[in-house]
Amino acid sequence: MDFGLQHRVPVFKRVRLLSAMAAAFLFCACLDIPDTPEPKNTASYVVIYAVQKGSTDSISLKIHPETPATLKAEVHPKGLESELDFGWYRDSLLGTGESFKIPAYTDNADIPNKLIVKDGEENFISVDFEVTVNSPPAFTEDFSPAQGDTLYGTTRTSFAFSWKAEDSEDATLDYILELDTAHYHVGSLEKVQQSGLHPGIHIFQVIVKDSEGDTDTLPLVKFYVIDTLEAKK
Amino acid sequence: MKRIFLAAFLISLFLLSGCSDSDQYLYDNDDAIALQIHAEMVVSYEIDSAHVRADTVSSRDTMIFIGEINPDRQAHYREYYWTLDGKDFSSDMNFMKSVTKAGHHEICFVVIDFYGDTLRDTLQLLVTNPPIVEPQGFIPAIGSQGLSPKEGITFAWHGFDPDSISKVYYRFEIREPKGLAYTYDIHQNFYTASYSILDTLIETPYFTYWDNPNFYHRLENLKFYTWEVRAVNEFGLESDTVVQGNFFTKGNRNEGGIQAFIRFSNESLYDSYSRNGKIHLDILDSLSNPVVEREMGLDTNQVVVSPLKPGKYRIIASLPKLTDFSPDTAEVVILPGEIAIADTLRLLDTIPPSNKYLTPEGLFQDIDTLDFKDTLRFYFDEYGGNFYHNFFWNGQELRGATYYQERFSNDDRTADTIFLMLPKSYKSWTYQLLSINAYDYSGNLNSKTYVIRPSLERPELKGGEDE
Repeated sequence: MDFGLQHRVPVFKRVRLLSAMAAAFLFCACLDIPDTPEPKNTASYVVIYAVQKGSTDSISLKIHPETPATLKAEVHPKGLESELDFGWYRDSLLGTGESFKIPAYTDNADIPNKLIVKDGEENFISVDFEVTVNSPPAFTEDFSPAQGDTLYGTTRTSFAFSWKAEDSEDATLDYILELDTAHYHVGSLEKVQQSGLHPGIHIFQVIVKDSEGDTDTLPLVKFYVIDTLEAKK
Repeated sequence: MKRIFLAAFLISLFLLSGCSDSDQYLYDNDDAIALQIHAEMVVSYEIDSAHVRADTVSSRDTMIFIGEINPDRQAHYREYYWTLDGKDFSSDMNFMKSVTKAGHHEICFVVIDFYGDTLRDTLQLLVTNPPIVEPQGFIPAIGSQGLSPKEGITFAWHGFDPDSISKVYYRFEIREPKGLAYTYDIHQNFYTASYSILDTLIETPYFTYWDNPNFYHRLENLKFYTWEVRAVNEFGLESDTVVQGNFFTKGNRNEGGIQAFIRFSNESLYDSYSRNGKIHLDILDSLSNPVVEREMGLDTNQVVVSPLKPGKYRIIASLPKLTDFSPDTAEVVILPGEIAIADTLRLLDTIPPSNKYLTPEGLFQDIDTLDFKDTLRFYFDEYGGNFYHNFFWNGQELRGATYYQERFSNDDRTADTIFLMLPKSYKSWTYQLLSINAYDYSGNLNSKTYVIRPSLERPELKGGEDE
């Protein structure tokens, strides 16, 4: 009986060894982690810029009609541009490519308002946008006092200040008058009378803003006040 | 054995369940109480403010929030709290708080009832800040001369809504003042008696006045006007600040005018009218020839005289009926097209009221020792407006029921007779003092003390005390 037992023990040991080896094999097999899949080249979003005279506008896409401008599409993540097709539309396809050139004085009907970006697997991103074509206001030469003018009066004399700006799109413009260090928001007024000017040199300037936020500034005007009336006393 | 134990356990379990009245824990629709909640708010510190569920307030307002739960028994709800735009606001039922962030807010009273259900009642609150107008830096600057209504007078100021959430309107007024906005030395109030020329509500912080023959009130040449702007937002909140300016209108090249300010040492005269007469104004040219003679009410402390030819003038102001006031004079030079502003003419009264004793027969007596009488008569005259007086009996001011007086004024109120009735208890065997202080409203004081002779026999001293 004892022999038998002694004989059986090595058999069990072998079985356990084999089992352990099989388990180790299976474990090693599990450790064979597959390679990271190749990242898929898909665009997540597209940003459109309007570029004109070196300045970039991605918010209001505002351009001035008298200068050529370019619409540019920027795909994120970057680096996929070469694998994608860009189509610029307004009712029909107006152009292809990452950018779209808008020549000066282009009619609104020829400026795209939709961009469709496609990849090779028929995935696409469509972006609707609107380009604002706005002419900035511009001051005319009609302003007073003129550069270097001399005004006669006392500190209580009301001197007239006038100016005029034109804008093809806006009938009403918004002006800010700067008189020496004082700033006056004068709204649409194009003429005011102000007193309180002491004898000496003074500065007059006006800034105009249209409804699209485009501005123009009247060149700084220097004028002189001479208190001749006081001298007559 | 095991079976016996199991049977005993089951029996005791049955008995236990029989003893507990489990029915009462079951939902019974008849026992359910419908909890009702209600929220409202009120602007605090305003007696007449109503309890409301929606309101527009200033960020400076303090609100009282009031929550109600019916029936209000703790057993019917687990908790309650308030939220402001979904965030914790208060855990009190009623509380006082300000909501300072401008904009629309939802304030919710939340109650969780006994069953865990949530009940809500929501209040709507719109918080705004009053609009702002800058009281400085406007067009035309104060005292601007030569503005022509026919050529258009432009006004511009800086006004805005600090929250950028509400529309701002501007109440624009042009007035012709009788008195310039003027602060009393004593009362610190504005004196603004004036006539309205234009009163309008506009949407822009600028305005151009154009003369129109159809206007009922029009701006005239060579006159002085004040203008004022207040901002009001669409919820009716008015700006704390006001734009206040003034200007002169244009005249012809060979015309001008004079603006004069008149002040009295007795400022109560502004409130007096016909009885104290009028201000007399004389304007003399450089050769002392009278050019203008004008009378004005005492409520006019500012006057513009136009048109006058350019040149040198002397302006004299006096109060003919109030002779205590000395006239005042100012020199002024009128430039073409302008209104010259003369130095303020100050009419000063330096003479105090007079005080005389009147005999029972009505005769003045300039004496200082009097017999005690039931009624003493004193005569006061003052030619600088009203006056007031105090009586002192042996240094103690006579007030209320301790004495009686009657005051009789003459027609132009320049003199008063005062009857002083003394009680018999004031009689004494010693000399007594009666002091009278009389002040005019220019601050001049007349203080006079009368000696009152003994009016009783000296009492007999008790035996031996004299010795």
